[in-house]
Amino acid sequence: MKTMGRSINNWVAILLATLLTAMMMSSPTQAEGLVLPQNEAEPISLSLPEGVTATKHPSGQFQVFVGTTKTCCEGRTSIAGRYAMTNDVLSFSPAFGFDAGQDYVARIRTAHGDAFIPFRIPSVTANVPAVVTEIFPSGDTLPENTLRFYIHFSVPMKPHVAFDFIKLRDASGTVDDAAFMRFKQELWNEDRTRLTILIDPGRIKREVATNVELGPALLTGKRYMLEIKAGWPSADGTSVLPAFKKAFLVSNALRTRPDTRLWTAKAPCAGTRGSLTITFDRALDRHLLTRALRLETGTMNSVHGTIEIGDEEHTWKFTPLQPWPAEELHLVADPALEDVAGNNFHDLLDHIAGSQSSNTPSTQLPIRIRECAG
Amino acid sequence: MQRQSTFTISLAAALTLGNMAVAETELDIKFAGALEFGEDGTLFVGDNYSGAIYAFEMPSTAGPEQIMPSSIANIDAKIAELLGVGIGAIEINDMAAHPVSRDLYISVTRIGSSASQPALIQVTQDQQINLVDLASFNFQKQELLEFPEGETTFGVRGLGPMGPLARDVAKGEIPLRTLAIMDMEYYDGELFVAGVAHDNFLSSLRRIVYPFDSTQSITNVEMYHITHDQYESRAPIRAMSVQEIDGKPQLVAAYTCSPIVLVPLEDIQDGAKISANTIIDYGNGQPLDMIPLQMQDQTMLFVTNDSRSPQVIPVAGLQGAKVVDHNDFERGGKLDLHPVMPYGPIGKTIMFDGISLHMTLVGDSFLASITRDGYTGSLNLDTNPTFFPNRIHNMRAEFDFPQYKPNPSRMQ
Repeated sequence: MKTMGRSINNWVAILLATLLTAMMMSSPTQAEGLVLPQNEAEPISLSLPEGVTATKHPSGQFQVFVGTTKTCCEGRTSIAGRYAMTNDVLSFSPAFGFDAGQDYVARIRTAHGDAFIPFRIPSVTANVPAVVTEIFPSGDTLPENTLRFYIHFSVPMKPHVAFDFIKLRDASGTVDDAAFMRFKQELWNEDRTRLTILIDPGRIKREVATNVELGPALLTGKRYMLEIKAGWPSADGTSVLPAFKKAFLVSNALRTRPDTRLWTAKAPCAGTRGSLTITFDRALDRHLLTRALRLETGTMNSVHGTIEIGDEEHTWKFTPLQPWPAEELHLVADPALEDVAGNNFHDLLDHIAGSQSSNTPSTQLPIRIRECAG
Repeated sequence: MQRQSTFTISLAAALTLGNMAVAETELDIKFAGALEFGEDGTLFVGDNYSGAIYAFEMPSTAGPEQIMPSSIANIDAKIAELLGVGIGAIEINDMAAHPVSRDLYISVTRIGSSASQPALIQVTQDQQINLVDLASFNFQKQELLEFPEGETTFGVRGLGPMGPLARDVAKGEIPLRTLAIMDMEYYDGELFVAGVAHDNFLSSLRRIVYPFDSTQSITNVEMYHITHDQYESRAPIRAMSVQEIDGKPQLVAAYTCSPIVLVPLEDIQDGAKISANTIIDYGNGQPLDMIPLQMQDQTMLFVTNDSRSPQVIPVAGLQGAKVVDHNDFERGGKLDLHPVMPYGPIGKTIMFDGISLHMTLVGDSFLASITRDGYTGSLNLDTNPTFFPNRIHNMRAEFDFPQYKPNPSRMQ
């Protein structure tokens, strides 16, 4: 009868008391040489010190139970599975694998007592390590009055600690603690994988108290570092963000409104599904761009397709689902579309009172689909 | 189902370290339900999910001469721990005793966080609880024809003029397929399988030669239900046993609420629609197991039930029993208190404290039972000798008092 469980016989190693004494841990929740599974399919393994040999009944010394340390393990049944010994590592694989969300306790028995090591399998999403995947604006030269940064993470992050980790440093390494606007509520997207941070608008707006007092956070011609210190935990606590840095040079402030007359279009051929590329005169807001531009036909119907934003938010590439019609189209911009400094088609974020240009920007750009030979 | 196949492969790999032959075909069992042993140790396992019966060759050396009665409190918690889940995450489906080793086998569903998987548990004669590596055995698989699909569920009914309650509505979530393999009986080289098939004449008996040769026959079974006063062809046989009655082998079969009928094996022919011979009706209850055993020098059928104490029916009483139909009674439903209930050679009721949810005979002289205790609610595996099959854990009788001494002068 071949069975799995407590009476596993005939193979692998027994752990000698001497070895186990050597492995006894100082803390009840840690054991030297114990490697916990990181997903449902991985075994739990125990490294044995050199020179240890043995033969039978590993389950007598090393077992895994369902539950918490508090309920372990008198009169309890250990999980069925198989033991394997390779290169001085004794591993145990439960017959049905480990289940995410289930509490487990590993018990290591020694001549001097038992060690109990509680553990859990991280959930599937947590198997993705926390990293910064993208940051916008993505360019390495940003205007002095840059308003917003978007930081994208690979996993949901722990809230309310963002500014313990996010710092703005100047070229000398000095941290500007007042650079960012602090809200009671951090600006996360729904699944907490994108954080929006704002340079304190008071530092940007000329002749406003903090600007007068502290000066702008960013100065033209200087170099800065947006830094995220290592150690920011993911929302489920199973992963920690490594250090991340974005270096950039500051250019002149943007103090004009966006205007489609300053954009250029590279039109595709009619009857094809080639891409239309619009190039802006400046970097525009990454997230507003995903929804603020649309293409219309002469009869006001929208053209459907996919968009790509590139070249450090200077270009917008549109690929239609259907071949291009042989007619003039219009690119229509939502007047609320902003550049990276928060200027939209209606308003500058910051203008000296009474100085607003009366020259109204255009929000439309005619696109002439070309008739190409052949 | 990917996890299932991974599990199978890993177990097969583990085997190469042992001496067992590895089955040639990969094991794809998805549900371990009804269990039945052949006399040589072949274990038949009903898979209600994929509509198949697996036959595992599980030869064994003989167990100890003296059978050790199993007694394991909180058997469900111990199985859950063994399978690495919480106590609520297993379901116990059936139990059978190996005819040679006397070990107990319990079929279980393990409800993991991403999939439900079948497991077979072994309780050895030295009271060890082990997970059986099914993939280590040679096996045969018989797929069942006319197996019900998984979509159709039970209807929802209220009681009389009352609308359905939450408990009734919940019944409407259960697929009919859960009743597709209710009980299996191995007899003289053939496996008889009771359950529901796929069409409107649902109640069926399958007859399959073992070793499987890919042939099978299906017979639809109708019977007269005295209590309900109607002919029933949907609700399946719950528990059954083959006995020699009136000179020929017949299935003795128990139905819900709660007739017992006879079906001559010779009538179970492929494609036939047959009427079973109703001989008994208790008027209430739902049968669980029917176990033939020797008591008081005769063959008895020990019938457990989820709503009444076990019934012990002498097979001798079934010989020449009157077969009845609607002509034999006044018309109308006949519930528990009706004067004709219980009807027929019903046998006697056995005192049994708690409800035996799964029972099996171990050797010739013990009955192992997975019992829900009425007071603690715990689920326990315990064993009683067939000469005293009663469970009396919570009884406090005259004999239990410390002052008790038999008085010989007042004894008969």
